[in-house]
Amino acid sequence: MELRTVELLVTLTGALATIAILSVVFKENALYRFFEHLFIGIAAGYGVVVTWNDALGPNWYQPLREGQWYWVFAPLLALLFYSVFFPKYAWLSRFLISVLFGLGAGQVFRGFSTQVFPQVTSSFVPLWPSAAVSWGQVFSNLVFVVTLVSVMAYFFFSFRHGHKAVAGTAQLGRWLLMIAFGAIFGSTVMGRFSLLIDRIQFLLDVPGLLFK
Amino acid sequence: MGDQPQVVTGLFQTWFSEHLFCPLTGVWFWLAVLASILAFCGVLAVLQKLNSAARRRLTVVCTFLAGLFYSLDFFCPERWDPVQGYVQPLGNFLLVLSGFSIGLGIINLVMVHGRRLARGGGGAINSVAFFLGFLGMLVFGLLAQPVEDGATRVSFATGVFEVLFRGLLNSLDATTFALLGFFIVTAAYRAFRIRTVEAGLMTVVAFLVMLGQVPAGQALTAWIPEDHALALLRIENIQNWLLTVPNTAAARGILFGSAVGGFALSLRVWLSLEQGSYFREM
Amino acid sequence: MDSLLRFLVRLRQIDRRVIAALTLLCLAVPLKVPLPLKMVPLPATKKLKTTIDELPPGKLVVITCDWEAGTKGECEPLTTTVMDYLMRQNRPFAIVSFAQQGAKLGQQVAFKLAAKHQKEYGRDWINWGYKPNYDKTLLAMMTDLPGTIKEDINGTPVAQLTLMQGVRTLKDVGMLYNVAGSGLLDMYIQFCSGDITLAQACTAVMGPERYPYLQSGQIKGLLVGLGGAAQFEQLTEFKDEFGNPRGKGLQRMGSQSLGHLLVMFLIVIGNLAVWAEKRVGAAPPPVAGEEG
Repeated sequence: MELRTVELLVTLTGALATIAILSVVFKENALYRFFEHLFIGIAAGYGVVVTWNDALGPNWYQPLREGQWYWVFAPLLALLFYSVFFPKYAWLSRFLISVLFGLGAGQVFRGFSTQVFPQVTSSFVPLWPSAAVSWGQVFSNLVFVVTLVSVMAYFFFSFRHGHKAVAGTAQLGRWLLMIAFGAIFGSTVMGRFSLLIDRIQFLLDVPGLLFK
Repeated sequence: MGDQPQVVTGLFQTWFSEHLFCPLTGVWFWLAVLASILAFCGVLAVLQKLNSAARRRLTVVCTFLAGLFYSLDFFCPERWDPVQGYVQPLGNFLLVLSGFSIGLGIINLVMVHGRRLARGGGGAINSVAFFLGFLGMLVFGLLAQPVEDGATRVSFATGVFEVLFRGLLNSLDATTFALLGFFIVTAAYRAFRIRTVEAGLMTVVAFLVMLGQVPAGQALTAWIPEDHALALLRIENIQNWLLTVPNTAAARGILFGSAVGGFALSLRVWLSLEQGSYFREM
Repeated sequence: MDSLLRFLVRLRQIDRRVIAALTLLCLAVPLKVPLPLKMVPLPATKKLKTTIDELPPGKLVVITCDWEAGTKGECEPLTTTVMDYLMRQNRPFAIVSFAQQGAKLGQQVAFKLAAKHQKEYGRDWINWGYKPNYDKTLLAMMTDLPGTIKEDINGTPVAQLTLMQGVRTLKDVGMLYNVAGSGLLDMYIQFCSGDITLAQACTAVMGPERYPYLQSGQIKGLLVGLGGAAQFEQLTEFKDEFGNPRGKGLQRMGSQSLGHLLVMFLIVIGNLAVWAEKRVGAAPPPVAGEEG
């Protein structure tokens, strides 16, 4: 098969698929539904292909072919996942998943210390000007500390925010959280548009790709 | 290379690799495979005989031991770490194990669409689309070869795989997410209401961030020289301050809450204190 | 005044398809008629460039392409601009992915750039492929990299590649650059940030929550969304294969600008319409085109 033909087909099918999915903006329609299901099918098929090619092939099949007989235990153990389809044996799938949960839970000490401890230490910032710290920096640091403490107070649900100082801090935390949510909203708009611009650019480039 | 620390061999790891987990060939290989299958089936038969309480106890013990593995690896000083040598083999084993679990989702999808296809009716054509896509990608994906650099021809299977992957899968995936672009505009128009001071504050920050991220917004204050005392009023600098000071602090506050919650939940799972259907119905 | 209020009230009835058409127009026109706009790089972007510049020569950089085609619009430019800079700097890199499509999508980017910079697969860059079970696999890679990866996407044992000389664990690489369209970024912080120089790029949605890690020094550089890619292109003077000094990030900033202005305009108009409705005392009108 000529690579040029492949490229042509890639462009054509890509344009058709893009238009079919975008058509739902106008109205829900049969073409959209068809391509939506095609997407699920292809994605599922690709999942199997890439798992075999990149993971099971080199990490399981190849060692097994080289005589590492003990790799036979991997699919045998994985069979326990599938016991979920047989009620009598379904507890075995829960047993395996529970053990995998346990393994994941064991990672929490490493994960928590590496992720959170530096966050705690870097929250101690200078609140007084010096040769190395300007007044502007001190102001930013003050805003930083006040925001951190008040947001944490807002999320403290273990007791009622009865005391005025706590309730006031929590209310301030709610206000300051709005800054973070505003930033997230602004960024979300950017993200969503980026994805749409990519498709629009592809459609605009189609004539050039077909007739180059 | 010499200055790199060696991975400490795990407890009994050398013995295991020399006496038990050593590669075999010919008939010995097949005998070992057969014996493994029989032994595994035997263990399963015994496990199936256990009553509900025993199954629960076994699950609790095995979950705890599993959790102990990575905990020991973290807490033990490197020189005396009894499990460090097993981290890579276990990771490899779990990689393969999770690879084999992919069939779970596939079986589910095939059952749903198979039933719909058998029933016929309006939606059957969509299930045909599912099977076409699934089987097409499966067959041609497994037969496809990597495209060589500078090649002008490829095999038929490779060509079809490229069309399925780049033409269809990439475009369908990308466009499905691109629809969000339309939805956010409609939502901004129809649902974004500034009724409270908090909403007003959020809107102002959102506008500043939106402007600071794009050249058109940055151009609004581009007349202020970058080295001028008022440069901090340039829109990109305001945006950067919002992101790096109040946003960072607020995000960190949220992170502390979620991290402590996640830590507590992990401990509950490890110690089997979590009472869900996973741990009750055995 | 009254007619203006009534006009504003009528605006609430705009069909969502009209809004969609307006959106399409705002995003499409600047792609065909580029606007002469310049991007100002932010400190987070500058920090990433400095981190790359300060890497020891010849050290392998690992690029984790943890993104699928769904976030291609953001993650592809984020991958392209850094990969291009690494190639220009003659820094070898490896691609790996914990997302199913990521390794192949990253490879497509690398192939295009390799042709532009005359770089050779296996000597200047490699692809370790997709690996499932990300957290345990990552920990295994931290202990024994070739033993976990085994083969590259062409089936060559990675231990045999010259690029892998001296790389026994993930701790031996110069930098780990994560490009993610999902929530995997925390995993790298949890398992790698103490031992490896880490830099991250993410979709704009996730951007604000990455800043705490930049402030704490757990990551040494951050690119956020298409804007981050555009800033890095500007900073590193990116040129495409035709010598055009605008990569996908900068090319699309015109559309992005108009899009942002449109959203801001619609939020203001939408709120004015609600205000006008209250003033006129009209009942909220039925909204056309909402059946889909």
